[in-house]
Amino acid sequence: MSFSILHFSDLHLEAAFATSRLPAKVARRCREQLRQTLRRIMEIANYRKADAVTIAGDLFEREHLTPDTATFLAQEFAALAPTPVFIAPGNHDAADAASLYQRGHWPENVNIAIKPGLTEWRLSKEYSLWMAAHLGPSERQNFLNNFHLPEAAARPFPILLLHASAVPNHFEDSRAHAPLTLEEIRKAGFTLALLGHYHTARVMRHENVVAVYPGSPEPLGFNENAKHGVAWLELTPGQAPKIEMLPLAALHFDSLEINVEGCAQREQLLDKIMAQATAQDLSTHFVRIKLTGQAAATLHLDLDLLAERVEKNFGYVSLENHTRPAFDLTKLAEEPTVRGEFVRNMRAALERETEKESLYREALQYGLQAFEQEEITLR
Amino acid sequence: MKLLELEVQAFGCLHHRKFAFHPQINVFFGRNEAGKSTLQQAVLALLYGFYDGGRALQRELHAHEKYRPWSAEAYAGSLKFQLDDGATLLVQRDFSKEEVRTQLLDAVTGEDLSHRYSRGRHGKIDFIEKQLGMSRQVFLATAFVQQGELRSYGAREASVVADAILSLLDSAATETSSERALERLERALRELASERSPHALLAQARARLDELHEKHAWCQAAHRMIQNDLMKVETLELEIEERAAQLETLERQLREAQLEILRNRLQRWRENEARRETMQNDMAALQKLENFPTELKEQFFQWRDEYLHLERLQRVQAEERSGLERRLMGLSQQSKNLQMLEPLWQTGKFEDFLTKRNRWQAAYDELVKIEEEHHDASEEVKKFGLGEAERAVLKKLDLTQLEQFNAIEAKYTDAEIKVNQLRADNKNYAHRITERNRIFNFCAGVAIIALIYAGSRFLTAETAASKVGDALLLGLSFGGLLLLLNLKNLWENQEKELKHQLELAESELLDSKRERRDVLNQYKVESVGDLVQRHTIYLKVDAVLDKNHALKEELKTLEKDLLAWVAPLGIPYIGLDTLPEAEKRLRESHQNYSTSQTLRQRAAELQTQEQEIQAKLQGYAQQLEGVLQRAEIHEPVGEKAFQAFQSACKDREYLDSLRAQKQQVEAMSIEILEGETLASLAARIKQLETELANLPPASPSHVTPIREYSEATLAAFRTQREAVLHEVNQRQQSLTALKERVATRLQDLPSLAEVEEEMALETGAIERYERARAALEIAREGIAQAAQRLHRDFVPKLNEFVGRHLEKLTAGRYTAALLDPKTFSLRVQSNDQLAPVDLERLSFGTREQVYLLMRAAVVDIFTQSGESIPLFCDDPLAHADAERLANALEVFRLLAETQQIFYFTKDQNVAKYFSARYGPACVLSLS
Repeated sequence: MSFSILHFSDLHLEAAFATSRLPAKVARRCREQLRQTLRRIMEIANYRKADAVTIAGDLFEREHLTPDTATFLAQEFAALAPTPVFIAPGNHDAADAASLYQRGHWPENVNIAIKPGLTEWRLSKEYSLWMAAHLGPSERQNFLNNFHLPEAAARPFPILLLHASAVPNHFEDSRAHAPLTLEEIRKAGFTLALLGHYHTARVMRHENVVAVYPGSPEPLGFNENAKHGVAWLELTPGQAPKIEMLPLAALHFDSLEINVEGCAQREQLLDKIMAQATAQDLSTHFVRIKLTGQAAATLHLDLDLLAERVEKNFGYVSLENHTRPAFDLTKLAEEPTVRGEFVRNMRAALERETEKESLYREALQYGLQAFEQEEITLR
Repeated sequence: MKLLELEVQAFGCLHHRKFAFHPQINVFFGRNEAGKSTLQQAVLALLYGFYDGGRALQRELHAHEKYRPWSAEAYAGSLKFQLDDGATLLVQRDFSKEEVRTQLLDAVTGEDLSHRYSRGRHGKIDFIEKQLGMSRQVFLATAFVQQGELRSYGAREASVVADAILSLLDSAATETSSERALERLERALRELASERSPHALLAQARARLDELHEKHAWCQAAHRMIQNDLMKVETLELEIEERAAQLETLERQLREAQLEILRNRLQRWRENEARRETMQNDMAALQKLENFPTELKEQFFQWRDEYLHLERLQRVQAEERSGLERRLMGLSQQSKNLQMLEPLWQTGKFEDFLTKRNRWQAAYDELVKIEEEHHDASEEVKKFGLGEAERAVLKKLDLTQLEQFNAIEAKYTDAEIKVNQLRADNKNYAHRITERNRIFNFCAGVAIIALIYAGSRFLTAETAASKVGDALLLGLSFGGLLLLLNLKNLWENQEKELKHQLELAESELLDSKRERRDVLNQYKVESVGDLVQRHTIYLKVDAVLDKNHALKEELKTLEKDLLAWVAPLGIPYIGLDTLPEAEKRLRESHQNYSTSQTLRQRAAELQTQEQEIQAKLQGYAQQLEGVLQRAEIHEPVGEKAFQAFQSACKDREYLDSLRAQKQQVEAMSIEILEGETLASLAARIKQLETELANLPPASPSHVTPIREYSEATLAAFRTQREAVLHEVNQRQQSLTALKERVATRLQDLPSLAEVEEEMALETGAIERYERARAALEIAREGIAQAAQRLHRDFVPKLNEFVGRHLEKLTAGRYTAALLDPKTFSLRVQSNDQLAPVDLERLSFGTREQVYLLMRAAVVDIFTQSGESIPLFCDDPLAHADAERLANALEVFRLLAETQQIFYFTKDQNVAKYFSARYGPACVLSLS
């Protein structure tokens, strides 16, 4: 008889989208979407009649948690009853003494690991779950250190549920959260590990060990533009687990690069940006556009104005100016003037200060602007 | 730029004049007051106007009015000029009014080009500044040399000229200067990151970030407080639940306790009733003791105790008397052999015997000692040879005689000492007399000689004075001789006296010696001391003999007394051997006698006491018997009767206590019922049992252990219930308040995530601004450094120009020039001196010429960098000698190859010089 599990992790409810530099108003929409996504996950579990739901940590961000979210979680999980929900807390929702996991009112179908040591939770007659909790935001210990499944003549099939970083070896990333290797999982006696921490979905295999990272159900920034969702596992005794990745993300973060060369004035550039938006259907996407290339002297790059003009074609857009001004530096450097001397000096500095190249390039542009224009436009 | 034509309607003293200019050099020749300087000013006014700034300055107004013509002709003029690029322009100015009308026209097409340049008040158009790249001030300081003006620059002029040169060098385009660029960068930096301005972008962003940090901290604190409150809420809810369970258990326990107490009461009432019945039965059994004489109980026991005590005393005394008799019999047997002494003990005491016996012993010991002394004295008498005769003589000697004999002995000794003393004195005196006689004889001889000599001189003296002296000497000699004779006589008397005293002493010594000899002969002793010693021995022997005799007498008396004690014991004499035995036996006899006497006395006392006790016993027995009869105890007085009486007493007391207890038990039954009936009690018990059956089971953790069921327990339960209820209420209130507080805090609390996002945006902006600031600062620094470097470059050019022409001008005397770019002060290098010479040390004429070269050099730099600039010079070589003038004019000729020169002079030679080289057209005569 098969046993089905809906596995997800790293939802990061109440996350702040600060690293993506999203305005608060936009980030609020993202946070609301995270809640909707949890509800959607519960609907999937219900619809597909999952035998259990497993959550490998970072369900929420503890620092930003509100009573409303706590109640929301409890109600969502209660609605799934009697299907059991198993939670192995991660570094963002660590199960310390003041954690919601330790003190909240959880429905009876919710099972939470609140100890750092692996403990067994029975899923069914054939399967059992072994999980442990992070007790702090910077847990570096390997949960499998000195652990081995107890010997037993006939025991249920053990499944590992953890918020951990699967690393090739312990030398590669010494600062990883709860690092472990697939070999350690194998040596501990597990063949199936349901993990969380990496936001990109992946299934890792090593000999007979299968480790499943479902990724975060929703991307949490511009650097997360792969597919996001949850994992669906069908377990049949004596057979390899069937793993299905279910795409779920409603949020999309995109980064574009648009060359401004050939755009002598603003309208040309706006047309170029809107053409990109239409071609890729970015009307619901959060897009970061990097303007590059040599900007014509006549092109006035007022980023706020540009963003205002194109924002309705995107879910959200932010513009970054990485263009170069259209100065003929070689010709300028030949001038027997202060400007020529300045250009010569700055070009020498650019060759000398390679680490600060962009800063010196910016300084050169400001300097030339100062010779040419009454007003200096900041980049 | 080259000036082509000048037309003046009226300007100062010039009226309706028109000039066409030579492209290279124009010499304006005329005497003083011919209008040379006015013409120069007219060109200046047409190029730059009179006014620079927006507001007319007094000096500008003054200059404007200075050249206003006296006639009614138009105060106006025009100047046609050609730029280096070929464009020909015409500037027309009407100076009639303060607001000067100015037009700049294309000289070919007539197009008004004024709009291309910025206009100011008073007809200001900055076309010339733009075209020449120099302001009026710079133009005046360089290309426009006025009369007598060739001198060192003042600080302000130097600065202006330097700035103008630098501006010129800044850029190929004259409108772009490093200073402007630096100003723009500075402005951008100020707007971006001024430390002083709160409106700077960076300051504003930082202020916003600080606000956001505060907001974030506040949010975090609020979140923590909310978390704490929620934890408290949870704790309170748990506590309330806990106390609710506790309350239920308390209610249950309270009812259980009430039920138990009711059951206990019922049980107690039943037990009480059973006790009352038992007492009733016991009291019935003891009813016969109703008339028991309880009032005599104490008296009876007192009598009984006395009776028993006397009985015991009687038995003890009987035993003692029996013992006494046995001891008396024993003593009688023991002192059978000493009975003859009893009469003695009736009259005397053993202590008397002991006193006499001790005295006898002491006398005996003393006698033995006296005997030894007597023996020693006898031996001493024999030693001194004192026979009976001597002793008889000594016996007669008394102490008075001995004192007289001692006085005789002392007198003799004193006399002997005195005689010896006087003999020694006589001997000493005889010796001194011999010495004195020798001196006397010498002195007497001298006196006699002096007497003789003085007498003979007196006799032979011739003068009275000599006679007086001689007579004085004669008298002195005679007097001395008389004195010596008297001394001799005195000494002889003293000697006789001493001899007489010796004779008397010797006579006394003989008398005392005779008297002493008589005494010694009488007692046949050697000395009076010997006699005294003999007398002492005699007295000692005599005293021993007397004491010996007295002791012997005392011993006899004592022995006679003691014999009376010891004779009955069969001891015939008193001696050291018999007395201890006698004493021992006497002591034993006396002791037996004393003991027998004591025992007999005690036996008699006992007999008397027994009789008294017997009488008392009979009295008590009668009284006790009377009480026993009243108590209906028919036993003879004795232990059995006493026990019966005691038992009856206890029964009677028990009967009384039963009566009291019965009353208590009856009261207790009433008390237990507490005014209720048995039926109502049973009904209440049943009701409680029903209530308990309906209550939920007690929570084991809240069950309070009960030691006993009592009203106090109930009260404790009720108090506890009230306390728990109070706690529940308190917690409910706290819970409500906490929930309200959490709701309020949540209502006003911004999202922490949103604050962090805003912070991230501000941080991003600050990073961008910081980066822009860094870039702007690098740009500013870079431009400043570039400008500085180029500024250093124009000085060599100036030096080269001046040096080149200076050598020609001074015919090789000075070969080089050194310019300070800050002050434009010059030093020149002389051929004959190693060190450069300060220009101020040269002659006035040379100084003027060098300054002219410096101005020309500046103009040349401007010309090389852009538009060529005409040079105006008003008689610059007025102080030059002929040779120097020739050299200078040659320099002008060279300068004229690159720029148009306007030379104003009154010197014909100059006019001739240039006329010869450029033709007469270059000389414009003013008259």
